[in-house]
Amino acid sequence: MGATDRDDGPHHHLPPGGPGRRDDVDLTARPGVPMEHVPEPFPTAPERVVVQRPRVEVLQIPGRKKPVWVVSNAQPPRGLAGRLRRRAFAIPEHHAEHWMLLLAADRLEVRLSRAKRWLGFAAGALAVAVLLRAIEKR
Amino acid sequence: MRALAYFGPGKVKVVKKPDPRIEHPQDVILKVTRAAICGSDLHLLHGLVPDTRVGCTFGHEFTGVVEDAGRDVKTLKRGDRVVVPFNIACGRCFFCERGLFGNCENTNPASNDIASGVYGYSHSTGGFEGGQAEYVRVPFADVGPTKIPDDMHDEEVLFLSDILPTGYQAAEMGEIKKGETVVVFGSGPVGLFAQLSAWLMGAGRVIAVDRVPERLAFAREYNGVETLNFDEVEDPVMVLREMTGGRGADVCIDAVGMEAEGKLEAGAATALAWCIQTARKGGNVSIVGVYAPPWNLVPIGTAMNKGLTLRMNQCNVKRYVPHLLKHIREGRIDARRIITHRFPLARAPEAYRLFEKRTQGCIKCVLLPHGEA
Repeated sequence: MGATDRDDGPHHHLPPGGPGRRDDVDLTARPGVPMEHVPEPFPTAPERVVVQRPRVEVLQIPGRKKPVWVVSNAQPPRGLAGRLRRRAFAIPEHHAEHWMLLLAADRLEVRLSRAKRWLGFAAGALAVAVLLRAIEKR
Repeated sequence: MRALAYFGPGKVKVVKKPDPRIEHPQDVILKVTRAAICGSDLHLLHGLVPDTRVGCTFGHEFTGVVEDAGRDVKTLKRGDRVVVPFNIACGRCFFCERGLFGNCENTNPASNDIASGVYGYSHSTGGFEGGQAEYVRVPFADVGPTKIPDDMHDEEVLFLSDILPTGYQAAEMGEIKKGETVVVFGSGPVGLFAQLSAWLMGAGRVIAVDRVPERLAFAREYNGVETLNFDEVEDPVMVLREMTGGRGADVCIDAVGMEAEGKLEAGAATALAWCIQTARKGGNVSIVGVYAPPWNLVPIGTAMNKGLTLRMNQCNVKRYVPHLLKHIREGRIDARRIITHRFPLARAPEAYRLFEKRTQGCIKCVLLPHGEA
């Protein structure tokens, strides 16, 4: 790249001008200029769109006028964390409470899922202990 | 199928999950060939993005082969190799019609204010499963995916999914003019591509700021930029002002976001504050770093008093793909070179740990869910 790095303290210097690849100097030739172009559908966008019917509960922000066209069916709201999430989605997103409740639901879900795993492990261990004891008694 | 799954802050595992299926007539199912780990995946890993649910699969930078296609898909068929933008866009809403694919209003039921639907990026962006898996569902397949030319390797185009267009858009939003001085905060993958793009747009000087010596060394070697390690100076803003003749930089780019380390604290907009403080009066600040939750302490009074132009957005990936694909094909951008580590999917948690610690010269980790393509 033609760079001649010189270590002189916390920063490194290069000769002015940089490596010299200037293919996109013309502002108007850059793909995102202007930021909003004349409205036109993407050339291969579907002409007719079917609105996907979710198989699970999908939480939607209040104030939305129409359903979105595609949704995810992954990890629907469940249990206590799900109840918190439903509560969060009753509050518009420009209120901090919406986000704080979602973060609280995230933490609660993690703790509950860990507790569930430990309970499963403990139940398994207890079952083995009872079985061993029964064998010993025989 | 096997997929990475989230189990709480700092905890991801590879688990078995049901195969994705066609849920909508414009879906395709991809067999994932490459899935990269993005810096913004670390925000998810650390539990900082609201509504990140237990069991969800991350991954919004991936390539794959079409395995199955919905009945209304016209441009793709089984066997096609594609690279997929991280934004899920319908192609015909108010925003998509204006080229703002990252703001599509038909793919994210959870928010009007955040982004469009995004693969593997919490339920705040729709809860769509990500590509760090053997298979993934891709909605609106005639809009998002781009076919990979036969003579190109998946890894050459993998970063057209996010970080390359994001870095390019960061530089573009800075409205860089010939000879201007550009400071890029963050020398991770997005920062590297922002630096490279700044040169392409005619910058006279490009200065990269980070705290990881290996990343700065890579930036010097890969992009030929000047570098500043902010850990080695008391006040990086003062040093940058001195480097720019006391006036400040024409353009500052925030390629860090909320989760910087060291002097930058999680959830803090330190990099953005430094951008505002480093830019010259009348200069431009461009933000592509991710901030979630979506509020923060920002020196907005300084920005007002300096007459700064602040520009920001999620990247409208699809808009940049043809232009950047041409740059790659013609050798001006060697995106593949930033891949420093490759892992099979089974070792994804290890890849996350490495990427998070930024050790072993790690710049970019890529997962190979099905081995070598």
